[in-house]
Amino acid sequence: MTVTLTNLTKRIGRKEVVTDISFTWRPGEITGLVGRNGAGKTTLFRTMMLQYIPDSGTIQINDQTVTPNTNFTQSIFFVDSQDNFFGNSPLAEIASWFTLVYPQFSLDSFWQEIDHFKIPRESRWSGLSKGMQATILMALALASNVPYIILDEPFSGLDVIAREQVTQMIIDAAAEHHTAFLISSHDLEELDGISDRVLILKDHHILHDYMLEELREEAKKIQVVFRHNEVPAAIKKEGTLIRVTGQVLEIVFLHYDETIETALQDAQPVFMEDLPLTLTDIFRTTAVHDTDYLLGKEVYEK
Amino acid sequence: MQNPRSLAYYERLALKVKDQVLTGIWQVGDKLPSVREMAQQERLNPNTVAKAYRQLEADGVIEVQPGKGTFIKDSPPSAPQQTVLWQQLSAWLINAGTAGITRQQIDVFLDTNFSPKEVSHP
Repeated sequence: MTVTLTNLTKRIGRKEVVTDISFTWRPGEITGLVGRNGAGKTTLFRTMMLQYIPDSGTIQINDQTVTPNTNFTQSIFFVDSQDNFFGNSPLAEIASWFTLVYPQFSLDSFWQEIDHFKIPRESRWSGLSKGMQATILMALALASNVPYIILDEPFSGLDVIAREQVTQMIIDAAAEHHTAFLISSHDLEELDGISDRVLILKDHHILHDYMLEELREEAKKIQVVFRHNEVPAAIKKEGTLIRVTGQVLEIVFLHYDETIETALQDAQPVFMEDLPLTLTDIFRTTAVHDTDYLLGKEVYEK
Repeated sequence: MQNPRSLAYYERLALKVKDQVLTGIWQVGDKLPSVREMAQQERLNPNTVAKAYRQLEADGVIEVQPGKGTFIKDSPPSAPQQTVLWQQLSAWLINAGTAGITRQQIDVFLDTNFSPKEVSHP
């Protein structure tokens, strides 16, 4: 079973808020959705779930095109974190709504998670900390027993421990039930190790779609100091400068090969070292041409 | 051993386990954590951990006993693999010499980083 978006486009007024988005979300795959503020992450989720009716394009679940009458609740979990209806309700009441909406919802597994994280069962939603609310939202998602879970900024505003709890719950579900996740987040460190794949959203469109392990095998990040600060032309062409600290340049090559290797050796840099490539680096590499992100331009253009 | 960089995460994890076997942290017959447990410990995607385990199995470091778990295997020296590694080392030494790395520096590096397990297994 897969979820496939094909050329999905949505306009609100005259503005396109989802622009020609296509991707296939595969079973058991953890996909990170990253983009700068306003790139259209939440809007994409709302359109995928037909809370906004798309202007064109299709969404298919298991080769079946979804319509406004499609019931998603056996396949996809999504709770709009910016606009939910939990108010000051007690947990039991929230859970009972979910049993009505999600046919496979398991109250047992919900309470197990709640007890596991030592959240008092009689709690009311609005009286809980952000961390506990995030854990409860995860517990609801997992108890729904659906193969696809959308999480909108699940780490936002959480402390380290709460973030780890959420990550732990994601890893467990993926390992034990082969659950697929689509996770929007600004917390790239948290997404880095757990994601199979990352979609980089820019201006409401998918700019890049990377399988992370494949990218890591192909890419390379170095820090380097060139003689007289002269960056060889081949390096300028193939590499993206993501950080400058004094004379030290951090450069990412998304497709590292022998030509680059030779160019680097020929330049006989004063200093050169490999660095691990993180998701933050990958994101910086793709954002580096943004007009408000013209880091080190003077170095590359001199 | 220094943490290798610019590797896929599954390769890093496989290397880490191999290193831990060499340094004796894991002994032959020890049970490795399940994929889920290892994913939790390393905060890695379970698919990545599973791939690392497949790599380790292919390299003869671990064996999967169905229904029981994953265990560190007694890996006999592999002659073909050793031949390849000696060839790579020879090439590396020539390049190192050209780049000005001294014999003494290599000795120091080996003393601090390369400590294979003692051969005496009861």
